[in-house]
Formats: sequence, C-alpha cells, structure tokens
Amino acid sequence: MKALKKALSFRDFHISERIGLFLFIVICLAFPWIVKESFARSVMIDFLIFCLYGIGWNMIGGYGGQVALGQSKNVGMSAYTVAMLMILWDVPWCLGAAAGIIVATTESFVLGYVLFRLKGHYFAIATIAVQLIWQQIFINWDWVGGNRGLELPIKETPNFIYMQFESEVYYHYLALSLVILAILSMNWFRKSKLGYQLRAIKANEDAAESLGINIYWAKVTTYCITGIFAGLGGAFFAVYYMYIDPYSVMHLELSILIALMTMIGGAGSMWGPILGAMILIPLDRYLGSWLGASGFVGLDFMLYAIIVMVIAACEPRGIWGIIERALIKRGNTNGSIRSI
Amino acid sequence: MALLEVSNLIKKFGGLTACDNVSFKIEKGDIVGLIGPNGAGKTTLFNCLVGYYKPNDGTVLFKGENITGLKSFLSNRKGLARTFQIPAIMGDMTVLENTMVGAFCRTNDEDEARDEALKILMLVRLDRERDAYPTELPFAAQKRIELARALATKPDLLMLDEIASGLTKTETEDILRMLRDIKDGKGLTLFVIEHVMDFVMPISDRVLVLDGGKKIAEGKPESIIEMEEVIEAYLGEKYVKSQ
Repeated sequence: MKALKKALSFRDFHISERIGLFLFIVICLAFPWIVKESFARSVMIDFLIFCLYGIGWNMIGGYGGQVALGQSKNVGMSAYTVAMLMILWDVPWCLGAAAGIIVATTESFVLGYVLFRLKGHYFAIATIAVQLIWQQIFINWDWVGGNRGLELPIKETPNFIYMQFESEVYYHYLALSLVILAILSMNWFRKSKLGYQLRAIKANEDAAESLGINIYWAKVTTYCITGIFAGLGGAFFAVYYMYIDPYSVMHLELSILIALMTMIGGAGSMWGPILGAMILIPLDRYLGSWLGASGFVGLDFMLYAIIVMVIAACEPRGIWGIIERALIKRGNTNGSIRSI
Repeated sequence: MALLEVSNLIKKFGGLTACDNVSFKIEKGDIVGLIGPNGAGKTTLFNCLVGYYKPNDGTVLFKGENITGLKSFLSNRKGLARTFQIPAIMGDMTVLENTMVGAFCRTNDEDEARDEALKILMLVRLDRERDAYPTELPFAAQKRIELARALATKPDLLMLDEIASGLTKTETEDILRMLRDIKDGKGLTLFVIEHVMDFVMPISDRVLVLDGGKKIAEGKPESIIEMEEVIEAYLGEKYVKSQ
C-alpha cells in the first residue's frame, strides 16, 4: 500500500515537471482522436514501445550506471515466447505475456548473476557478446522460424483475449497504459531503497559498499527489473506487429538504440527515456520514410547521427540536462530541479 | 570483552608487507588514534578491518565475532563504519540523499531513512545544506557529509581516515568538538587515523603507532610523544619541543 502511494505521489517533483507529465498524458490520450493518419499513429505507438524499453533500461543503465547493451534479447525472448505459445497452444496474450516476462526476467537473472562479476567496459562488452550469441541462435534456430521469423495466428474476429484489434487505437491505449504503469514503477523505484542504493553505486562503488550495500545483488536485482520491462515491451511488440524475426526484436542495433535513446534523453533522470524516445523515434521513422522515398537512402542515418552528436556535445547529460540548465538559469528553481 | 580485537594481522602485497603482525584491542567507548608516517600501513590496516582487503593471516574479532575477511558491506551491517581519506561523496545526490543511503543500512522505509538522516545532519551541522549537492560545498563540509553518512549506518565503531586533513585550524577544532559531542551523545567508539597532531592527540584516549607495517608503540598520548622510537620514526624533535 505504501509502495503504491509512493508510486502515485509526484509531489517531490518541480511544478514544471508535474505540468510536463500531465501534458504528456493528455496529449497521448488525445492523440488517436486528433491524428487520423495511420503512419503517424504507428510512429506514436513505436514511441510508446520505446518509452517502455527506455524506462526499463534507465534503471540499470541510468540509475545504476551499468552499460548493459543486451536489452533487445529480453525483448526478443518475451516476444518469441508469446508468439510460440500462441502458435503451438493458442495461449491468450495475457498468459503468453506473463510467460514471456518470466522467461526474460529469468534470463536477466542468470546473465546478471554471471556478468556482474565484471565491471565497467568489460561488463558492457560481455553483454554485447551475449546479445550477439542469442541473435545468432535465433537466426539459425528453425523451430522458432530462424531467419524468416514467426507470424502470429490472426483470429477471425478481433478480441481482447488475444489482443487482436482492427483499429490501431486499441493498441495505442494498451501501449499507453503500459507506459503509465512503467512511469509509476519508475517513480516508486527512484524512491525505494534499491533506487537510492543504485545511485550510490553509480557514484562510488567503494563508498556504497562501505554503507552496507551489497553491490552485486543490487545490480542483479535491478537487471531483473529491467528484464521485466523489456519482456513487457516484447510481449506487446509481438501482438502489435503480429510478426517477429531476429532482426526486429533480437538485434544488437535495437539494444544500442534503447541505450542511446535514454542517454540522449538523460540517463538517470525520470524523464530521460521519454524525452529521448520523443526525439529519436519520430526522427528515425520520418527521416527514413521521407529521405528513403526521395531516393536519398542512407542520408537519414547521417542526419540522425549528426543530431545525436550535436545533442551529446551540447549537454552530456542529455536533453533533460539542457532543460534543467534552462530552468535553473531562468530562476524557476533554487536548484532542486536537479532531481532524479 | 573488547569491542574490536585484532591479533597478529598480516597483509602482504607481493613482496611488500603492509601490515606486519599487528595486534591491538579497542574497548567500547574508547577513542583510539592511529598515527605513523606515510606508507606505514594505516589505511591498509583500516581496509583489512572493514573487509576491503583480505588479510593474509591473523584474526579480527568484532563484538566477539570473527569478521576476518568479511566483505565490506557485511562488516558495515555488523556495526563497523568508515570514512575515506579523500571524501568519497556521491556528487549527483544531495547532502540529504547521501546521508539517507547510509540510513538505508538499517531500514527499508524511505520516510524512516529521511528522518534518521535529518537527525544526523543536525548533529554534524549540515541541516541547512541538506538540499545542496556536495560538489557545491567546501571541502570541510564534504568531510562532514562523509561523517554523516557513516553515522547514519548506526555504527558501534566508527573508523575515521584522516578526517582533519586539509582542514583549517578552525575547521579542525570545529570537527573535534563535534566528534566529542557525537561520541558522548551516541556512546560511539572511534578509531582515528590522523596526521594532524592537534586533532589526534587531544581526542584520543590511546594512540597506536605504525611504522613500516609494524606496531612500534601504543599508549596514552602524553606517553606516546615521549617515546624515542615514535619521535624518531614519525613525530620528530621539532614537534616534541613545540609541546
């Protein structure tokens, strides 16, 4: 009960942050009613999915400072679990998603248990290596569709049990509710003992350990929570696209995009993943679509990279860092805006 | 039963013996100073006691329990807290949050941790700076943040590694008074590494002297400053004459 109260309380945020969150939710709620274009709606849903991934990654990568570059394997494992259960035994989405999350979290636990014996760059490289191994396994594993991927069975009539709808609006609200759930979880996490411990670990491991923190278990536990969010995102991805392959849900590129997006937005801040996804996902989709269609294939990547570099050069703490600085300069705050 | 009992502790780094057969006891409520020249093995001894280093030989008994080689976070939970020579502050966390991390050692509840941290900040006179970031504060305040954080873990034995180094005379006197008050109020036991004689001599009930990893002397401050081997190894004639 106390945890729920903490998750729902945003009183410790600056007023501008609270207004921002309120506007974000209102805009997201109204979006399908204002925007009718299918592409824009699908970009919005992609944005929400990436918010989910980013919020999860922010816990271990942002708050904990552990550069884990294997988030997409957890997304993939959950997506594949949902798909396989639906294909083999016609399992409803909710149960499939629960199983997917369990698989993703279990993998996170096993991997975290082993890999958190490493530190810094070694840990980051190890997560990349494991990601690549899983990627290759799924590309070559025929039972799960191998290179071709898997198509989920489409039901004759839309239904809630399998989360299959004719209109994108339903998917939009499903994704939005998952994101709101993730924001509340994040709000609880940052005020929890584990949240404080993770921030202490990021700042100074020796000092953190001297304060009674079991660094190893704090990291493993948080990595598992990160796995839950990746699993949730993967389960939604499978049912939204109705098709998955190792390149869309099990690829290193996706892992890097999730981490990059959060860093650009402001890793270790509450709003970083959302801001990062808000900039990078529409940019990626629209640049790809406009420039690709105009015959400038590849130019979208260049522009994308330039924008990313400019943001990183202007403020290493990401977009949230820029906003924070502006607010402090305007005297809207006594400095307490530099919140988490 | 002594609060801390160290017997024949040896720590080697390759061919170098940083702590060589060190034995001593600290009784509850004592303030024990640890002095010696640079490289004498003082911080290594601290690190062995709190579990940063695993000793090659010897035993460490804390409240009668063998804690030799116990990991640092576990020794902290048993009641051993320490500060660092160079303040290991958490720059992205406010003074209050820094202290709360320590308080979370004894509770899972954020509100309880906050209340405890606020009480500690009052003790170390940092309550006004609670929402500031440590990097915005002077060095002396950063030292006090470390002290507050260690105190928030509710230790039985507080180990201070050069808490007065880099402080002005006024700041040193200030922290000296503060530690005495805290010690009396909380019934703490202190183990203090220090080079600042104006700090360690007045505060200590007993002083240990290390040189080259070996304990060369132990006794009351007034007797320590008269010991030939201590004057030769560390204090120097100039210090003795100035007293």
